[in-house]
Amino acid sequence: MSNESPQDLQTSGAGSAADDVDLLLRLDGKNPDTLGAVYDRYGRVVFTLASRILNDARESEEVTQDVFLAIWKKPDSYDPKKASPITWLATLTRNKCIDRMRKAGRRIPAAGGEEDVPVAVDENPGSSPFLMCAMSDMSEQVHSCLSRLSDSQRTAVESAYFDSLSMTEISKKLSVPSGTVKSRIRLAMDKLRSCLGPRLDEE
Amino acid sequence: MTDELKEQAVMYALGQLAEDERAAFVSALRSNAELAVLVGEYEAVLGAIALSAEEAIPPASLRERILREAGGGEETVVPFRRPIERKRSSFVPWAAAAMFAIFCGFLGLQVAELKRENAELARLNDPENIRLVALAAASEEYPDISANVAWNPESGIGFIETKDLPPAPSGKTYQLWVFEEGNPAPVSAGLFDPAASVRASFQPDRPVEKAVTFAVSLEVAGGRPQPEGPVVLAGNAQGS
Repeated sequence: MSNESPQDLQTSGAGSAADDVDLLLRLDGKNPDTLGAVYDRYGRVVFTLASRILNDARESEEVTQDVFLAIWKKPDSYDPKKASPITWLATLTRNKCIDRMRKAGRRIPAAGGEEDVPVAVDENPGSSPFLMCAMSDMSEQVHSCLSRLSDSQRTAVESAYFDSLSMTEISKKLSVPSGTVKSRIRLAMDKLRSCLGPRLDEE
Repeated sequence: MTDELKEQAVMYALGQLAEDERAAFVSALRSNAELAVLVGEYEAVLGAIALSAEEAIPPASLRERILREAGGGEETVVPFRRPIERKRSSFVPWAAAAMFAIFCGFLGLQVAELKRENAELARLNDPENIRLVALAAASEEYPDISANVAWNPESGIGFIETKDLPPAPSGKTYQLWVFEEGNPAPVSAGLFDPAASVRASFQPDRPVEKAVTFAVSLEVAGGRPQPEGPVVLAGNAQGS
């Protein structure tokens, strides 16, 4: 993991969370300048995530292109009631990576695909950890929260998210039963949710 | 909410539920607002984790490629046209043949223009108009590689044939550059994949006034507007 501030990933054209949402909502499939602005804002984030998952620069470029052309062709696919821009784009990117790995016969998780965009409805987005992603110190926050996990919890979460390992594969990797892996990931996610949440309430 | 349901929510957010489990969970999700909020929060946590990945910088050309595909912008790095054929032969006859093919492709094959084309072809293929440049290894990592370039200053089209150049490492690509007289910033002449072919035609991104050096560098996939990676081949066009 890098010690660099993940905020660096978002510095270009950075604005408030509301600005980011507005930027995505301005996509209309007609004005490439808007797509350019969205790319300037999120291009590195999408490429970074794709690179972390696929570990292949060329494929990561193709996934990044797929992601931005997908939101260009379906400009109304983003629903700010369902997810923050970062969460939405991260889900879209990861799912496209998984689809690509599936088509290439590479290891993939048990399920997941392009259709699995965030479905949860946050009744009160203002209290959601989503908006943490738009905060200036989000990077340090995420790293700080991850550092509070046990090594086994962090490895389990990162293996499931970045490496798309199945529970069975993670259980072999960690030499623990699959049920234990699930418990560790759930505990880790709850810790992260708790760790990231209070900062939002302060804003 | 039970720990088991929370685990299912986490697995759902991670895309780790099997199809039947997923269908049942989605059904529960529609009728359980608390569960839907929890899933949203788990997805947000995962979105935050995405930001913890070590930063990777996309090539500068990617933005333009995306905008171009979307209907605007222009691409700066033009991939090499693929070679017409892969059979090895002596370099100069091959270059002349390929020059003919490209030339025909550019001008078309309309019968009415054949006479003019033939005259032009003869001029372009005249050995007097083609400059041969030998590129030598410029990196200790690849000491035994070499390449030949056939360059026609009049048409601004050239051909490169590499020898013993290994495939670019994963995530990398070879990029050809043309340095022109009086300009320290080289002009990109495209990307090159020796795994696909040892030879290819090229045309610099913009007209080159007077080529003085040809060089090949190893760049990140997608290429760069200006060279940033190590130069592996270089040759002086003035000495040819």
